[in-house]
Parts: sequence; structure tokens; C-alpha cells
Amino acid sequence: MTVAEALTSYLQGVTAVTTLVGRKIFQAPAHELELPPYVVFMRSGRQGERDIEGNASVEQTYFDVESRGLTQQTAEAVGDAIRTALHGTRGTWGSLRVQGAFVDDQDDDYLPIPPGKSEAEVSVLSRVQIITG
Amino acid sequence: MDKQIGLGTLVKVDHDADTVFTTVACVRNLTPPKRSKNQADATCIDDTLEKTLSGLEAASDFAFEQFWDPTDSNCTMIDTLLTNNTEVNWQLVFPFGTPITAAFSGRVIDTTPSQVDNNTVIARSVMVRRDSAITYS
Repeated sequence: MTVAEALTSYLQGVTAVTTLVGRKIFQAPAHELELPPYVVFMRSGRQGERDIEGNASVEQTYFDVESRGLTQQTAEAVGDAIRTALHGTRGTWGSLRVQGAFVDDQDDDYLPIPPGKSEAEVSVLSRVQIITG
Repeated sequence: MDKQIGLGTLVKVDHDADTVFTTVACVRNLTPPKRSKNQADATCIDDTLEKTLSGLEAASDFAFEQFWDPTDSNCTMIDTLLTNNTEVNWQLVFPFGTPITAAFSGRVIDTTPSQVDNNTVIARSVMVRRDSAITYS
């Protein structure tokens, strides 16, 4: 199971998130006809320390998680739910042992009529770090 | 070897000697107690390199930083232990796949307020002098 699959699976099991977006949590690209609110994310980085013999230590995977809605309020509510679900959490996600997940930062963006859409969307971008190993 | 980050590490103390360990909440970070042995000088006059013999295991300190609220039981408990010089049992529980507990006894010997400024949470550091061997389970 990849970290992205584990993240999707974990968020789809968090009631506070699914109450707002249902199961509409996608690794990019989201289907262009998807109606907001929804969550789309992509990996933005991956780092893993090695000991002097080259053996793996824990691994950090970074994701940009966008919570999209038609209004600022909706996008923010989803972004808040994502932050609450992830920040400082740990456990087993599917078959993956997550030692820690952190939301390092969050900011807003405005998407003037994305391709294939008829309305502008607001996005709350959460920068998520997931430590596995 | 299980490589583990610190998230989920617990500081526990049996502060009233009832064999029930209370988790000290709102700990920001901690430094477990070190182990070292005193070194007795055994250098002869004709030696060309200093020689030492290992002696007793030295006392050591366990330190942690906690957010400070003088009315909160997590802080008053520590204050009481400091005031009374009480030697109590401590546990550090590390969140490995199978959690590891380091146990030892010790006294709170120091609480030092951290610098207070306008954009950080008020905190203090607590130091515990270890008075026993460390056992791992």
C-alpha cells in the first residue's frame, strides 16, 4: 500500500471529513466533472534518512492537500476537518504504520473557473507531512 | 531495528506512591536520563597515556519541558514533588511498534521557567535527578 493510498483510505474513514465531502477524496487529478466540495491531493516531496550502511530509517512523505469548495466557508470547513483529522495523529492506516502525520501549513487559493467547470472554486491548501517506517 | 519518532512518547509518574502512574500531560519534549560511570584516575608516573578505571555509575538527570499553568494538576503535581523532595517512580513510554518502558526512581530537583514572549506558549523545564538504575520492559 502506498502512502497516498493509505492517506485516501484514512481520510475516507474520518466521519468529520466524509460528512462534508462524502468519499470524494482523490489523488490528483480529480475527475474534472467532480462537484465541490471535494479533496484532491498530490505528493510534493519524499525524504528518507539512511544510516551509514545505507539502511532505511523513517521516511517522510509530503502532500499538498487541496480542500475545494464553491465558497470560502465550505473550503475552509473541509480544510479544518482535514487538519483536525491529520495533525498530530499516528496509527495504522490500512497496512501502513504511520508514526506521525502533521499539517505544517495551510493557505487559501482562488481558482477562477477550473478546466471543465462552470464555476470558480476556492481551495484551502494543507501541507501535510506523513512519517512512515 | 525499529526506527521510531518521538510522537506519542509518554512521561508517567507515580506521584503519590499508590502504584498508579499518572501521565504528565502537555509535555513538549524530553531528554531521557543518561548513563555514565565515574572514571578514577589510574595513571602511573611513567605512563604516556592517561588511564582511568570505571567506578560507580554517576547520578544523572531526566529533563522535560511542559506547558505551564500554575493551577493545572499536571503542574501542581510537579511543584509538590519539588517542594517535598519526594523520591518517586517514573516511567518513560516510547511508542515503538511494541512500546518500551524505561523505569527509574527520582526526585524533581529543578523547575525553570522558559523565556516568556508575545508569540509562544508559556512553558517551563523540569529536571528530575535519577536515584536508581533504569530498567526497560
